[in-house]
Amino acid sequence: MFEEAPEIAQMAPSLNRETRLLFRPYPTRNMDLIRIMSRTSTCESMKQSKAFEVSIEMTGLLGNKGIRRLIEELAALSMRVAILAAIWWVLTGGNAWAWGAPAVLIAAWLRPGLGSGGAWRWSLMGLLRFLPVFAWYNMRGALEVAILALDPRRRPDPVLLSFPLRLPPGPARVFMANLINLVPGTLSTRLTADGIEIHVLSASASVIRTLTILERRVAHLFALGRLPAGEAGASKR
Amino acid sequence: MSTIAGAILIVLGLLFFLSGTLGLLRFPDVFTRLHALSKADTLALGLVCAGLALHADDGTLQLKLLLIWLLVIVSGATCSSLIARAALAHGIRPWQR
Amino acid sequence: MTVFYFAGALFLLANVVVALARVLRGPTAADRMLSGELMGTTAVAVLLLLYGATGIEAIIDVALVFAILAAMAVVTFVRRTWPEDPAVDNEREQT
Repeated sequence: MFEEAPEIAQMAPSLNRETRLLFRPYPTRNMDLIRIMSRTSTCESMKQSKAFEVSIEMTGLLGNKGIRRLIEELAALSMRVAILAAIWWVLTGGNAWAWGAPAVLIAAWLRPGLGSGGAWRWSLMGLLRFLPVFAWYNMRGALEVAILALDPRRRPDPVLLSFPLRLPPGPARVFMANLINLVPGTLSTRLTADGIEIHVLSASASVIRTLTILERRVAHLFALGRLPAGEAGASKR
Repeated sequence: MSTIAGAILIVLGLLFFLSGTLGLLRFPDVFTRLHALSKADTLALGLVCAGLALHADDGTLQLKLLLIWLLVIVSGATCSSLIARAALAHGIRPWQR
Repeated sequence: MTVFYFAGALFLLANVVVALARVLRGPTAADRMLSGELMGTTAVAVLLLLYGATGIEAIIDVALVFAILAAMAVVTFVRRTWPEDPAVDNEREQT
């Protein structure tokens, strides 16, 4: 699907990242991009089936919303099957497929507990860029808390802040709220209408900076492209 | 080599567990204690999992350890927020210096 | 190596015993639940170390179940034992 950055990266290796991001939210422009690319034949992968799928998706060649939706749903379903099968494989150590295959198929079809929230979009590239940042922050967070706990002279100076989020409401915000609990010195207490309320061990500029960086990475992870401009800032509650 | 590295990771993990417990005992209110738990413990378990993964030689076992860690991260993060929100809703105000 | 794992598991158990002080002291129900959360995570780690010591793979599956159960415990606590709805609290105080 076109929303995912890696494919765009694959198809347009010559373009820089900013341009790719620019193109993403506009299907017609994407189509132009594909046309330009195929004309100048900068991109071999156009001939491959994935790119074909993308062009169906983008141009609506079939002109039929129903068929397009069907393709999308089948893609989402096969993605779920793949993920669940991977989990089953890990859990059972590669055995017991007689049980596993039906269970995986049924679970992928019924989606227990997920409701009908629609498919999540995420980008592999975003994930790869997110993970090291997360690992680093998680380590720093644990270290800071450990030092605070071990050193009797230090005491926390906590405060409640409200941190406006530029991420759109939905899974990205919930993800961000959970993430905040794992990075240095912050704890999300509740989601508000326009952002999130956080409990901070000690209010400082570095906390806000950390959260701003994380927010941008989460936006990449959920293939949201660029966040709307605006200064991040927090206010005391 | 990987035996020693794994052992070091596990020992580090144990130390983080200890610091989480100390934080739980020493911090002044429920919110600061949540900080201690949600951060120190997830990393501690991650280190223990990583250490064991270095000792294991079976691919699916390592993935299973990763799965356990992911599960604990997700549940730990979610539960921290749940408890914090419930505490606020019950009128518990954060401790202030 | 077996001794190392057992020693680690013992260390974590001692850790949990120390954390029990928080259950005794409270002061709020949430503080006590935090000890529960700590115990859940520690139990997973202890089980993993026991796997390292004994090599019985089933222990890993037990650890997995513990990881899930710990999450369930906290969610149950927040939803049932300590619900946010103040009306429920008042009801309980009256009865």
